[in-house]
Amino acid sequence: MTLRHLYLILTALLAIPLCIASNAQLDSQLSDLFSNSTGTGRHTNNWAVLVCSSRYWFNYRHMANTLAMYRTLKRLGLPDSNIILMLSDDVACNARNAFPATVYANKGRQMDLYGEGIEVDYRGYEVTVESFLRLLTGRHDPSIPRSKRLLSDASSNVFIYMTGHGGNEFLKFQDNEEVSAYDVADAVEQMWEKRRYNRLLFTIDTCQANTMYSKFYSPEITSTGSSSLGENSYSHHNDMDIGVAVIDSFTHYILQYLETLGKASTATMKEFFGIYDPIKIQSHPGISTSLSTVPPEEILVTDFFGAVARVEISPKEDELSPLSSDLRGNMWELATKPTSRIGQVDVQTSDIEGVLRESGDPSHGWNKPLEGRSNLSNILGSLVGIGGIGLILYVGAARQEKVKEA
Amino acid sequence: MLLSSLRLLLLAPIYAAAVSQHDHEDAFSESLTLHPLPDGRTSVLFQFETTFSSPRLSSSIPQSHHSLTPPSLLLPLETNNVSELTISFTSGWDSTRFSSAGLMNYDSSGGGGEIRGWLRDSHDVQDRWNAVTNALGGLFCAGLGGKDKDQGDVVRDFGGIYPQKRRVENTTHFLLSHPESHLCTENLTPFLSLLPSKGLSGISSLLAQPGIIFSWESQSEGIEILMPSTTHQGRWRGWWEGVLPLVPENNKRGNDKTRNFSIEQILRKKLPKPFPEAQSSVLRLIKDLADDNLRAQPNGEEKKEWIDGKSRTVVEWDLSNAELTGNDIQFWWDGENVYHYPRNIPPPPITISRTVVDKLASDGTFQITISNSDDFERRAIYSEIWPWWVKGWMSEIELLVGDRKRPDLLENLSYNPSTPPRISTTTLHFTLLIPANSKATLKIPFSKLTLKYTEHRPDAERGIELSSGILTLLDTLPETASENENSKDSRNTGRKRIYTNRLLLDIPTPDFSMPYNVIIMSSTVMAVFFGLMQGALTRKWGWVEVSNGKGEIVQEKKDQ
Repeated sequence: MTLRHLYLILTALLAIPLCIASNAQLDSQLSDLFSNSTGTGRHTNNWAVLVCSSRYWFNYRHMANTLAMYRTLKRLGLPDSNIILMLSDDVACNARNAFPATVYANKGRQMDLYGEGIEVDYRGYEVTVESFLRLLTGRHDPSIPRSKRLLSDASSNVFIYMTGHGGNEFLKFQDNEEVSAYDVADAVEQMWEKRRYNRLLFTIDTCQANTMYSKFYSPEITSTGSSSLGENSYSHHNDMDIGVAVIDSFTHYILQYLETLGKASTATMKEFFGIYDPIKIQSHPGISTSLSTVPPEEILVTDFFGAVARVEISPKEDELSPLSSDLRGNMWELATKPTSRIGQVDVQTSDIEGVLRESGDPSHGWNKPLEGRSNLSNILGSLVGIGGIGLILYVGAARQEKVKEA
Repeated sequence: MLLSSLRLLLLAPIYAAAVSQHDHEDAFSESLTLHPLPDGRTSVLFQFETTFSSPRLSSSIPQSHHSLTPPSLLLPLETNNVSELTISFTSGWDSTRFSSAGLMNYDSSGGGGEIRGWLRDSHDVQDRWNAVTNALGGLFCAGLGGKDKDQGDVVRDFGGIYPQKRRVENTTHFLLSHPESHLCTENLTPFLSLLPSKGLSGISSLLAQPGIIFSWESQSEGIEILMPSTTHQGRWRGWWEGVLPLVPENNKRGNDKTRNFSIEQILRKKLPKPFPEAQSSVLRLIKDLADDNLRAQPNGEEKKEWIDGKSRTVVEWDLSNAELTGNDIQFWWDGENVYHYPRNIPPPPITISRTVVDKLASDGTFQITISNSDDFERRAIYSEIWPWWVKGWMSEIELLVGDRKRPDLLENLSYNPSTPPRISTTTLHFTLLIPANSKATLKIPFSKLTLKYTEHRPDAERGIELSSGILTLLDTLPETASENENSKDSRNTGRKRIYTNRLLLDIPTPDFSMPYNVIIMSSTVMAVFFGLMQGALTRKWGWVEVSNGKGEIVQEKKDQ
């Protein structure tokens, strides 16, 4: 009899660590399940800023470069809402375009980059150095719509692509102003300070492009450019019917490589950089990974060119209680979410809430998405615990019986 | 038979309830109108109209429910107290080359983009207008917001020109003109996404072909929203209008010299499946009197309708008819083997054109010619919007008929000057009489003020567009057949406003390299001059002792 009591105490003591262990294990399993197993790093969303900074018909290739990037990003799953497209001129509906509402990046005119549907967020005169820097730093007038904002956060991977005419440490915007490498570096530093990116890929296709990323000093930036100091970047080929060059060399070869990738590709940035061939591109592309803590062989191409669906799981204790005193005082929250605080007595909420509270309809209850999970894990944990107790009791009882038999 | 009638009898109350409920629900209708023009072109107009009511107004629970209406369009309007709003983009329209005074859709503006509307008064109405323009500018992928943070370019005295369609008290009218805007696929994509049929079925599927739509000579896109009130349902109407290039020219490639065309030929698609939610889906063909031998196969329903001052025959096809789905409609002119261009195309009763007669690069004169080919006098308001840097010489305005000055025809002039050098606008409203069968010319001399360097357009030397001038006819009558038996009376029209073309004013961007050259040259001259002077004044002439490399100092012949 005393032995049985001892067993009980022992099993109870054993069950506690078992419960804890199962909870922790479940958490890790869940985070494994929801995290993108093919991705590296800790980003939960992707953003892209595509900038064509030069206008006029003869710069058709710059529009085509940018639109080809846009199509590729969309093909790899990035939604339009996460792509900020800046086109400083409209070649598609230009009177000189013999093929209205289309833009092609190859001479056979196989694929129309403008397509049936496109959303250009900044176009024409809206593309200025000011709007570009405001976009990066997030310093907008309050009335600027969401479609014109880079709503990235500390777990966003941001891809910036720029093309146009440039020179040593500058890129020309439209026909009258320039953005300097220092401006871009400072804007990116502000982005880092404001936790607007997790990792950043900066790609630029212009003359002397590598000088444009030489001034970066913020962490987690991988950058690449089409040509080194003193070198021109050249166009790849012309289309005789369109009458102008349709794409630049560097972008052409990047796209040729990206075409081979799918959404689930596991290719790394090292492979991406590996396709650079200075003879084919006719200039020396540059790569800078010194600011990134992760080497390119550990970054997937789809970390930037694509849209991950990774869910961040925050521990239960990090959640704010809905009944915390700060929130209770917040009348605005109460007004906008009348059903979220059922059971809480607050005289100032509207009558509707009162009706709902009295009816006691549980379907009106507002459950936080993570609450269900933690309940589940608790139940699972206790089930494992009970199972453990049962097992030990069974073993103990069997031994007792053996003792009895003996 | 018995069973089915029994079922009908049993279900009748339910059907009735459903129908009566339907009255207050959203309803969607669509139409496609074709109008062959006398010069061989064809106007095509897509119209989509949704009537809706707001559940916010009818129920005490704050809610937002959308079935056929796009929340992205209506929510910003609802929150910003909009009562009526119109957005219009027009590109490529040239009234002097077409036989009509304007587009088929009367609410289309002149050239470029325009956003105008009535907002219910509140203390922050200006900010709300700013929010609406920016929100819809983002929605339509077109920068519709003001260029100026202080909203200096917003015009507020055009309420009389664009009166309210539905009377709402305590409202303010706003207008923001963007004459530089044009249309492209990025404007068509959001337009289609606002429609309940999304460009996938019904008439909208014919429109969702940017490659075809943008090869037309001119395009006009627009939306008009009347927000619901406690007494009235809301209505939002979207339109897309284009003018097909010459049909005979296209036919010539196939050795066909007629104007024959078909739906499939112009839109590269057969008649689509009807959109199931559409209450009506109609194809309309407008025939002018001169086009009496215009035929169609299969036949539609013919009726007489009074359109834009003329009685015309309208042929209608109901596209919800399953027999038409997947088929084509052919149009031809009986007995036409070769199309001959008409020697002269009758002009519309009122035409207006605006040019600038330049004497110098810095000055000019707007010359506005209004011709009235009718046998009666017309009364109208001519309105202009100028940016701050156009300064009109008000005392030198002239109104001429032929060569004679006729100041008596100018009844009134309202002048609202700009406040340079802030971004602001000058607005002008001339109340005029246009005599019968005559051509009135309004001459307004002006100077171009010096722009700030940052106000110049980033594409140097292109110039800056001015908004279209608007002629508002004050003596129009409702669009119904006039009492006399005439088939034509230009006053009976819904077209109250006639637009001029927009105007590109040459504004040379200062070339700063020239002043730099001058500065650099004069600096060089100064440096050389003062350098020499200083040298002459401070240098001493004499012999210098030079070592011979062995440590000894060689005494130069000093005393020589």
